[in-house]
Amino acid sequence: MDQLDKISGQDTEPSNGQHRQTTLARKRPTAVLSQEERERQRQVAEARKKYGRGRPVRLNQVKDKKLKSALRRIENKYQDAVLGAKDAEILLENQSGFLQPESALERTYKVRQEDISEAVSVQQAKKSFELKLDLGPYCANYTRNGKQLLLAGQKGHIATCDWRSGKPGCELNLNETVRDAKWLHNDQYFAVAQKKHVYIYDAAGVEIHVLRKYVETSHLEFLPYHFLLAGVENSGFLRYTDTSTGQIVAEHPTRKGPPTALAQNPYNAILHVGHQNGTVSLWSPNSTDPLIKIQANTGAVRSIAMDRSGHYMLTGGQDSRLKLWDIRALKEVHSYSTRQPATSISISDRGLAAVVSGTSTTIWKDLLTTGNSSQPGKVQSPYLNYHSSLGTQVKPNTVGFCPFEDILGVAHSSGFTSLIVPGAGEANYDALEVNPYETRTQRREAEVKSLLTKLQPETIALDPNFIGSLDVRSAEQRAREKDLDAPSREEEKMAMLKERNRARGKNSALRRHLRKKGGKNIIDEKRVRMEQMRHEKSEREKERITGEKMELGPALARIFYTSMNTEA
Amino acid sequence: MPRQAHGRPLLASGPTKTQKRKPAKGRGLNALETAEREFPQQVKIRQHRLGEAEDDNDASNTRADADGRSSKRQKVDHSPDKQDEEDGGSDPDGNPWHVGVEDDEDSDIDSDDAFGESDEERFADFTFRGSSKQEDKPQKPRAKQLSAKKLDLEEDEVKDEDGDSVSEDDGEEASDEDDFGDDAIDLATAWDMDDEEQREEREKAARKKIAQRQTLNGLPDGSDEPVESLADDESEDDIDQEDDAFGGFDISEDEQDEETTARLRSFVDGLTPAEQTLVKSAPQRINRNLPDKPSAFALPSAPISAADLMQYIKDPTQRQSLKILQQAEKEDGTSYKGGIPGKLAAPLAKRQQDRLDRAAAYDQTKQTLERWVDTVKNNRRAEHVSFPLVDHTKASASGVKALRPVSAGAPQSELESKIKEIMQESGFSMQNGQDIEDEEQKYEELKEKQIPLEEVQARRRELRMQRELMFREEIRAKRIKKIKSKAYRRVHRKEKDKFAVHEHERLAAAGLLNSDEERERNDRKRAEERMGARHKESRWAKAAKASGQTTWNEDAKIGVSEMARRDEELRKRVEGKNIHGSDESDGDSESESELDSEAEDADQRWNQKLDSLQSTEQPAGKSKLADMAFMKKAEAERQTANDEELKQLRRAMNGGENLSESESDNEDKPVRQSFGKQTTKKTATAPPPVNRLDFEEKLSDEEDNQEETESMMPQLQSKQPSLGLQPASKAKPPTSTHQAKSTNNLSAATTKTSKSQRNTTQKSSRPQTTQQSTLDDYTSPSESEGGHPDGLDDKDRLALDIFAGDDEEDLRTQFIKEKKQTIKEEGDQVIDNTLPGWGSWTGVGISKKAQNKAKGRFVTTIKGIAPETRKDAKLDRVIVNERRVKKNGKYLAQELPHPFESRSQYERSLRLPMGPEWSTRNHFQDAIKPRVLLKQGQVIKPMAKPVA
Repeated sequence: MDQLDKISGQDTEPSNGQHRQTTLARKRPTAVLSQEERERQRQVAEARKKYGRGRPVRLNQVKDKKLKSALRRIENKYQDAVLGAKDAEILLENQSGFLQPESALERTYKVRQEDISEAVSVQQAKKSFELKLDLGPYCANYTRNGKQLLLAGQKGHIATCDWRSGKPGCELNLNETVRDAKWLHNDQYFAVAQKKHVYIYDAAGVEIHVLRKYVETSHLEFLPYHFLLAGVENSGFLRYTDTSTGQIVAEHPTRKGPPTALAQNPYNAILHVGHQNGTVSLWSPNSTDPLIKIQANTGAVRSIAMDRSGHYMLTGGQDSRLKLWDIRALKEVHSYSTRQPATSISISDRGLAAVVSGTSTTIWKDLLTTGNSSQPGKVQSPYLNYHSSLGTQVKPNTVGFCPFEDILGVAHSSGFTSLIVPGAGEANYDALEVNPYETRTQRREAEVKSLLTKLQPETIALDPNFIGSLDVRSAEQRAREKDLDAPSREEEKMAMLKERNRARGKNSALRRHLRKKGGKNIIDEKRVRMEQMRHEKSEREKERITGEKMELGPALARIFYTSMNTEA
Repeated sequence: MPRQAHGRPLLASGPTKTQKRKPAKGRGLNALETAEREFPQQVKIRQHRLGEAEDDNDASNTRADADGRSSKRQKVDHSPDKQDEEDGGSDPDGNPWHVGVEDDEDSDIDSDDAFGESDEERFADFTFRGSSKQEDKPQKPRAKQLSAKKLDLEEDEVKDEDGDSVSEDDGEEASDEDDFGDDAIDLATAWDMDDEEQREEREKAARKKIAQRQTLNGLPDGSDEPVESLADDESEDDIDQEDDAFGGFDISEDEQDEETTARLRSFVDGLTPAEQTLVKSAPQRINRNLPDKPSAFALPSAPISAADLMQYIKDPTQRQSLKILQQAEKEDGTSYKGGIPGKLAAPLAKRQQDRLDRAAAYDQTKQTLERWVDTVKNNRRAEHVSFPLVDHTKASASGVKALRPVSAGAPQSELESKIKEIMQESGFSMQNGQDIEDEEQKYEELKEKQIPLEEVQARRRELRMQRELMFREEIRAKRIKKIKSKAYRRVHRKEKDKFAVHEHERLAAAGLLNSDEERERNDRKRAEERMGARHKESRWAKAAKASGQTTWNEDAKIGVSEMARRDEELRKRVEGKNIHGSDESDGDSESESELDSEAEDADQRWNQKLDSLQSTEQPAGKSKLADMAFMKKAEAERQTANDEELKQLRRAMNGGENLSESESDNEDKPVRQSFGKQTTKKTATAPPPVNRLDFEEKLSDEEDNQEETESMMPQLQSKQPSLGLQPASKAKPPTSTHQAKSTNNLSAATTKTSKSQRNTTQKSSRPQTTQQSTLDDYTSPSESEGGHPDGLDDKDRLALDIFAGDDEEDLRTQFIKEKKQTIKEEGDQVIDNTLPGWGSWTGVGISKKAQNKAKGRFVTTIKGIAPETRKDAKLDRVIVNERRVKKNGKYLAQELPHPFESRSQYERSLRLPMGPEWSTRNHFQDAIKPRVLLKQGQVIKPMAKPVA
């Protein structure tokens, strides 16, 4: 028997994706699944859970045969795609891991940076460094591929560098207040929000543009897929500029006073602006009003951060509360209290959250990852904890995780510190998307390609999948929006009624009868008589008129009848 | 049958009948002459040669519609009699007869071709059938349809025709001819539609009728011809005789023999009663009369056979060919099928022929084209088609890619031969690739041959017997299974039980019983039985329940409680647990417990005891006193105390491990929150000393409170938001206005917290109660302040009071106000279109009332979003903008694209990503693969003819 089994096993083993559809279809729905069949189903379910794109269409409800087969084909493609993606996981060769306590008593937050850098490889240890700069407080920004670092001191010091190799890019001393600085689509350009206007510099530090429309901009954000540079001003104006064309795309007044925070949602390119009154408003360039307003905190919102999937938002408020919001359901999930207001938050690709409160920087794990319920559980202790070694007075200004690295950049009042945070970065990169090791030509090609595939600002919406979906407005609504002055349907109906009844003398009993009853194309005796009567009547009328005309004489008749006609 | 209709006696023994004949015509007369000369001989010859019964059958076959014809003939027969008498000179042309023969002979000639000048008369009806020229036309169909009234009609017709002129006679003649023509056409169709059954049926009917006629028709008819008599002699061969007789009769009429006509008349007179009896079967005939296939010209269908013509032909060669024809007719379908058509059918009219040709051609083409259907369908349905097409049959032989079953044939590859070898070795298949079962059967058969016959037979008999018995048993079982009587079942069950007990005893006596297992099993069985509805729904129990005895009758109460206890015990037993040591348990169970206790260790026994204690603590019945509130409370307290004691005992036993587990379990369980007096429990379950981690989540506000009072842990003190600020404000006074603004003053904070607490208690059912906990600074020193519990001193509080901005309450109210505003803006918009002074007075001095009256007269409402349908209707801290974003609109589909039936289908089809960024390379390439692929540089030949 064993041998037989083996043989049959040989036969069935190589069955791959192609055969599975047919075998599935052939089996009775109530038939007991074989072991491998069950295994395969489990795989599909797993893959679908991770890579699936919504529920399949119910094919049994489709009546049209052609459509049914087309949809079935599509569903098969979905499944193939999902399984392919799952299979392709084998290519994600780099693994990621966190600090693991060996016993229950050990706490990861007690591990200091020195311990970590001793333990990790030299290459990695080199990435942990500290820059002492005295034109602070600084703010820092990494490029999308994590290669270049931009440092901007409030007192006007701007510096870029390839931080891994320690190669300086450019250094500027602007001698005026710098509020924020952001890289644009690659490491060749960056925008700086200065005292009055926003300026764009190139990699060599040459000033290329002045955006004079931007006045006293306090926060900047760059939307890489849309090439939009967004800045929010102290006056409360939010402006979008297309950096590929130089046009201002949108200007929206927030009407909430000076903004306190700005962050972009990487999932749908919506900007979240924090306000003094504890609300967070969500903006797109397409609407003059915020899409959503959330009363997140009870004090001013000091910092906002969204995770990569765009599901969760962390807001730190002046009320010393750190709130976790589910942006899809628009519900607050958890509320944590902080010792001091969280002034800066950053969420890494793998869901670690770095929170600056007071002088300390804490890094939290599993803040956003869902527990056994559908929502994230509440975390009790941080993953890592950092206090500047430069002194107790050093206050971190901004924090930001470096993409594809286990590095957290902390820009503080006296410089910049790069911390090693194990497990922070995405271990596997997609070179089609962003390439941390790109060469110059690759960078150029990527630039051209991204320009070609640039998304229009109109594609920004809360649900980025809306494109191509069906417009569900009613016909009436559409008509109304098409022409605002157009009368409504009821009005039109009334007008029609009026119009219909307006003609005088055309509604004789005879005519009405003919219209109503004689409309059919049946010519019978009655109908003929009717027609004749009508004819006679008109003849009589004509006669009468001619008679009258004769009586009146040509001149008078003309006057009389024209006046009569106009009256009618 | 037509022959019957003729009324001619067919039996040799019976008197010969005068037949009603075809109308006498010129042609007919000639035929008569020739026939008179030839007939007797001819018939005799035929009798000799082919006088088999089969002949008749065949002949009858060829004339499917002979019935119909008979009536026609009858009718016509009479008229010519008289006609002939009156205008004898009108029928002397022999031409028609000849032509008739010719016509039959070279049936290939088209009707058009054959239509010559001389034939004008004869074929008049053929061509102008539908025309109203011919007076006798209507008669025929009428006659056909009303065969029941045949005779009366005939009489009339005869009268009508009496006064007919020559032309009418011509017409008559033509009509006769017509019959022939019809025959010719119908012969062709008749060949096709021949049915054996039909034939037989007809035959039978014919025989019956003949018999009838023989009995009924007493008319002696010496008739005209020896032929007649001859024909009569052959009583059974109705059809051939008929034909013969028919010919003969024609001749006799044609002769204008007075004698014969007289005889004929007498025959007709005599015929009447016989015909009347036949009326019964008339309707049947009518149906047969109608042509089976609709012919285009509605030609009457009376087939003409070769035998009909035989008599008129003298030329030996012609006769030869006719005989062949006859032979063919007899063999009918078979010879035709053999590919040698015995005789050629008369040609169809061109149009008709063309139509048939076209139909046939169409069928042919369709067939050839249908071969392509599958291929074309497949290609159309295929997702991708690549040219040049691959010939799958050539591409790969089966078995190249897949392993074929080993038993299929000789092993082709080395691997297969190896497998086969293994199979043979392990006994799964035999040397020659046969199944083992086959082999066995063969072996048995062989063996059987060696055994003597009797033995084999005996064995078989036995087997059969057994099978029979089994079958009977099965049937019996089925029948018994259907019995619904409870009494029957009861009796039988009892019997069975008795038997089982007996058996058991016997076994026990013999010492064959495995006592422990058996006992266990029996126990279980019994328990299951008792658990059944029978026990619970016993009469006693029902009565007790119905009468409410349990409330006052002590006995009943005890009984019920006993029952409940028992029930519980039994359930446990069913679950497989042993019930031991319970004092109420009955004798055998006690003995069991004794037995088992030897095996079990002491700890377990203790546990059981504890269990039983716990379970038996509740008193079975309750007095009214016990129902009272304070008693209950006391009872509950006692219970908890007992529980505690038990727990402690257990803890002592298990050494503490168990306890923590069980306790944690208890905590984990979702317990309904109870208010009021439960202090005993609280004190009893003292919290584990320092097990809780510093950063553990607090479960609820209450717990927070508790912990606040108890623990000294610093982070718990910073529960309230204002407290969190405290160190900062201590370190440096609030310099930035933002900070100062939003720091809450103490009073506000406290009121807020109390409020929020109240809220949480109120909305405890809502799932979204946000919990509070701290994100702490771990290295920061733990602050432990005396004085104020919230960690604020007077100065701070003053500072907070001074720099207090909007507190939470204000912010909340502001937000709500804003929300209301947006709801109003996005809701229904009412626009007042009233013009002041339009339909009302306006100006100075108009009263307020009048003004108001004039106000809302012309109003238009623009539909907005109702507050309850808003997305944020249930989210009190969120405002969602419900206005449509117009700029997004240009990326929306305005209407559902064609093939899709619903929005979900369409959107689903869109969501499949195409780009290489979102899918694997395989999938991407699959997605962008064009539907039609052409291999470059190759000649693409048209598709080869599919193998049908």
